[in-house]
Amino acid sequence: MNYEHELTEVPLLKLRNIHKYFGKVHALKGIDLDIYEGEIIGLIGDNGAGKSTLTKIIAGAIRKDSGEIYWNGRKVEIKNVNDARRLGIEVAFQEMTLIDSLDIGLNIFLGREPLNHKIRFLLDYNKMYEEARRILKQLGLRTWNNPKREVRFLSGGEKQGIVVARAMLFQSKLVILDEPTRNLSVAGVRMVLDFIKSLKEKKIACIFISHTLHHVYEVADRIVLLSLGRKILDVPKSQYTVEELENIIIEKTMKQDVSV
Amino acid sequence: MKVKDKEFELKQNTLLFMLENAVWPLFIMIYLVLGLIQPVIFSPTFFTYIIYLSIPLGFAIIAQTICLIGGVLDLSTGSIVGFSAMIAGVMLKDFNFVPPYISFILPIFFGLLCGMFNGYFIGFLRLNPFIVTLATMMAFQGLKIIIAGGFTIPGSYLPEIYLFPGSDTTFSITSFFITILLVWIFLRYTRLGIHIYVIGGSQDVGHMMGIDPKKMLFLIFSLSGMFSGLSGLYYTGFNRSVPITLGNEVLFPTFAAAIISGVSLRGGRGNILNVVGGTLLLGVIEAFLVTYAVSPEARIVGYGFIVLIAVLFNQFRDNVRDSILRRI
Repeated sequence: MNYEHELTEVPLLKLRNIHKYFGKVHALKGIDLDIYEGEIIGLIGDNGAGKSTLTKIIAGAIRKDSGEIYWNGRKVEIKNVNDARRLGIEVAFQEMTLIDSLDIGLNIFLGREPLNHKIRFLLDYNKMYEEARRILKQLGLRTWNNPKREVRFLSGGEKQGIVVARAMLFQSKLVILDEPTRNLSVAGVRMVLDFIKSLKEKKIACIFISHTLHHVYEVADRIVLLSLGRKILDVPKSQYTVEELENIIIEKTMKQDVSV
Repeated sequence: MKVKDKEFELKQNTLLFMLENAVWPLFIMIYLVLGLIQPVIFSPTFFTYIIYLSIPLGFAIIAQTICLIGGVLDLSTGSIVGFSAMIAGVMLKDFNFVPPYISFILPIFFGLLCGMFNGYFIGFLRLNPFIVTLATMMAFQGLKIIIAGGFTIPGSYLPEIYLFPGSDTTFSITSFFITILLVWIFLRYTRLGIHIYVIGGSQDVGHMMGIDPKKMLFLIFSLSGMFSGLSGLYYTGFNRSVPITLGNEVLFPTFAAAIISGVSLRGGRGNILNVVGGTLLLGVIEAFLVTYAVSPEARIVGYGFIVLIAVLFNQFRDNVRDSILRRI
């Protein structure tokens, strides 16, 4: 599927030869990656493979040391989180993007609080709660009727819902989900997977990071495997079954371990 | 059934409201109890005096509250109060180049500088706020004594207009309440203010959401320093002098008042309006002790225990509040 794309379309996000060092540690060793509109990438790999580092670079939380980033074919520099947000890249790391002591409305708008249209420096709480209600209701989330509830009283699934609502509200083009299924109940996992599918319907691309191939496999269009800072596998899902993929992953990882 | 639900909800909301603003009933209770022991407290003039007495400390409490909401603490608050009042006093006494009508800017300016100094080390150099403000607490304290040359500055050396804000009862009280209102609007209704709550909740989340913790910490300590300087100005007017000991007994009460008003030590929570209640609460206790001529040393012991009780009280209130909210 992804090969058809390459002939006809410009990728939404194109990464070329991305390098990142943390002191002497070479965390990313030249990563190339293309993501097309509405495409779901399942990004997998062991701890320390570079998954989080790569996505943090895309999200503007840390800066790359070298390499190029193209957005809709245009070369861009993502210097900070706000740069990424302006492009339409939304981070949805549950435990990294919610403030427990603030309410749902404020959390959805964190860093982008709506301002009063008359007195430009004051916040417009009415608009904030109205919008929060609307989007939560649209997503069918139970939290919609109480947008003033503090986030720390919500369950894992409900918190994930807030993050989702944020991505919807700001009409992101690319959503990065870092382990969205961790610490979730079975029903919660279901909800997240359904959400990721709904992103696809709305033509929103998604990078879905997980340790669990089985979660990724269900929703992803393409599986990307990182190991020790290198991309060692990038295949369309449709060509393989889960078992085949698992075998490939084990084989590839072992081969690399030997060569290192 | 429906009616019963509504009634239950109303009861619950009332209870929550009471818990969140618990400092006010607590203040009234303590006022009444102390008034029964010492009836003079009940007289309207004395009540006004209690408020007036609390104002200089009140500004320092605003400073500490902003820090606590931002998830940090400022141990140098008291030292900045004393240092900024002293350096401004010395400048006004010994040098004539500052026109009297802008003289009141001096302590605010020096307080702001001290706060920016703290903020630079904590925000941009990422040093631990506890250690940095502990260091500057001692440094500013020492500087205050050095520049004073060991002497108190009497009010007669200072311009009358400089003493006015802190010495005029009406102006002192009104300006304090206006300041509180402005700070409340800033904290609750502006982006920067809300971002202080965000940073208090989690610096990492703030960073991920495009809010720079470095700049926010710098802002928090700058504001803290500025309000400490303002406190210095009001203390000067209140005392009609700059005693060498000015600011020495400020730090502890700022914690006590903020915590008892429901400002969380974990950061990210607290309402500045309630801090008025905490300020008055300490004022009543202070006034009560004054009428019995309790020695300053004994008062320090008292403040120590008040901080402990305040922390206990806060924890208890949070637990009750959380258990109710969890059930909703």
